[in-house]
Amino acid sequence: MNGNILEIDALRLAYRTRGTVAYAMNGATLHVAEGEAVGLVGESGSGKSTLARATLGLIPAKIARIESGRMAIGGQDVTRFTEDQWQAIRGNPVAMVFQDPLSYLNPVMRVGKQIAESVRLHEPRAILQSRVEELLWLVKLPAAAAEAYPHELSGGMRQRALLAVALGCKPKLLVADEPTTALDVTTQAEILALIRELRERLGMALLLISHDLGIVASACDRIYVMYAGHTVEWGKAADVFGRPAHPYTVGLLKAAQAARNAEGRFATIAGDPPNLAELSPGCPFTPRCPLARAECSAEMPPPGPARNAGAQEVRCWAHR
Amino acid sequence: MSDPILILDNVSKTFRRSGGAPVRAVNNVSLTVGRGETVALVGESGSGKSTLGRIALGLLAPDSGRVVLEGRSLGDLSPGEFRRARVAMQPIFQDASSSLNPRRPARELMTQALRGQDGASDARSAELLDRVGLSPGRDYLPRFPHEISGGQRQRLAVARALAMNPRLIIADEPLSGADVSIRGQILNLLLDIKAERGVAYLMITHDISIARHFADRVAVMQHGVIVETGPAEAVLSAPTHPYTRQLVAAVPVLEAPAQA
Repeated sequence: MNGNILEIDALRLAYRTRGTVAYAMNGATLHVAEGEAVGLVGESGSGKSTLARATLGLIPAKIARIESGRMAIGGQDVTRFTEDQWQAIRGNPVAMVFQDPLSYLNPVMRVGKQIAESVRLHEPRAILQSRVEELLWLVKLPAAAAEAYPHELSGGMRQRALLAVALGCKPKLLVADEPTTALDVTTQAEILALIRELRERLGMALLLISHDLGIVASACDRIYVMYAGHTVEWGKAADVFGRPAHPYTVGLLKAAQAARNAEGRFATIAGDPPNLAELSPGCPFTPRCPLARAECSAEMPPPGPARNAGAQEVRCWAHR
Repeated sequence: MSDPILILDNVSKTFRRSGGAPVRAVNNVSLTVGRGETVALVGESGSGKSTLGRIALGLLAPDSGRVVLEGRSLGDLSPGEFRRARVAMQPIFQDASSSLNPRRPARELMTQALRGQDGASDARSAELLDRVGLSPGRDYLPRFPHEISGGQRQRLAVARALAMNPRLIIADEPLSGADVSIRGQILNLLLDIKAERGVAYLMITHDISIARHFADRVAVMQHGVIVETGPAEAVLSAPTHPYTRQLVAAVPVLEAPAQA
């Protein structure tokens, strides 16, 4: 064990449907150390949700295939895992919570029973009841919530229930894919505070995936920025958000401020996010990039240290 | 503000469910939008902000109170008069992919929006598409909503809203489906349209930072009541009502990067 609970190295994953090939991951690299909180930001279509699902082996095998690269969980190579092998590690060491708890909780089963089911996979029956009570307490749900059906709970309470199910397996890594996107801001703040507290209490690592830069900035130690299947910049949150290096990160941060410049205009990134089925060999950000030069459209730059920025790694020719 | 374009005067709406307690979605709310003014209506889900938006659009009749559009109370109009009066205000909805008919190309979606107008033609449609940044507009006429990107769909929705030369656009969460990098493009487009045509906006949003920077005035809604209203920048940078404070404090802060 080298201290990383999750290692994704230069992973290429293609979806093949009706003659089109889309690389949702096109050489993505991401590491999460034990106990560490890592944020992954990207826009829709960047491949961030595919990456999240890949860490649980939830990629549809019929249309998706890992073409190259490597993924390891807890030191074990999982790149070529079969469904049975995945089944053995889902929940422990890695568990996941999703954006819409309602579609992941069983609508006709009481919440307490669903939590008990996840506990039972990994622990003796005798302590079932006390573990369910403990988990409800951990996620700050009243004990009575055990008797409720998911639809009887509010959105925030459902996300707490889903967290309790995930924690029932005592994961070493919690993957949270947009866990607060469907929630109101005040509820979102409560859930983020809860996730932070749980992480500290349980010593669990977190991979938090979000399109909202403010959320990952507030919850994570290290950040990865994903664009068109590539992780294009990564490092300490203070470096990536405080002194961004990749032109995409720079643009994204300006746009996320939603502030207006001296001319009263909102910051934008020109153009549209790329179609993953129509990618050139070069850097996919080239058509939108203010710093684009000749080599950019020819070849994707290797990762390397950022110039005139913090200690982060960046994949950009302007920094080579 | 001598002649407001829209007055919501003491509007209330209660939803009754069989077997459940009635829900007072909107409770004696008054709100005014001046000509050429941008008003943001912010609140969380269940605050009644979308119900109020639907009442303003005339899609929902209030139980009590009046909706006054350009000096005429919508409730007093005959169906024909109402249809003609309502042309002055146009909606933009949250999710362009579900508010645009997926089986109609942009050409038909535009013709439909220009319904019965003199000069409804491909040329006029293309001109509007050009205006919203889908250029050259002619190239977009044969495209179906699924053949263009999410940002382009939202632009198409804006073009449709502009077709009737509205003086008020009521936009319900127009940006919540848009990526961060696209959001600025749409906001700038809405600013340009306002500068060119003097159109007023009522923007319904849960996004505090957009409300703060886009709107002239903001109204904060909670449990069917407007709890605080005033200049957007002032209210959202120094809120006085406890709920507004809570709302503003809950937004995760992203510090501006050191380098520009």
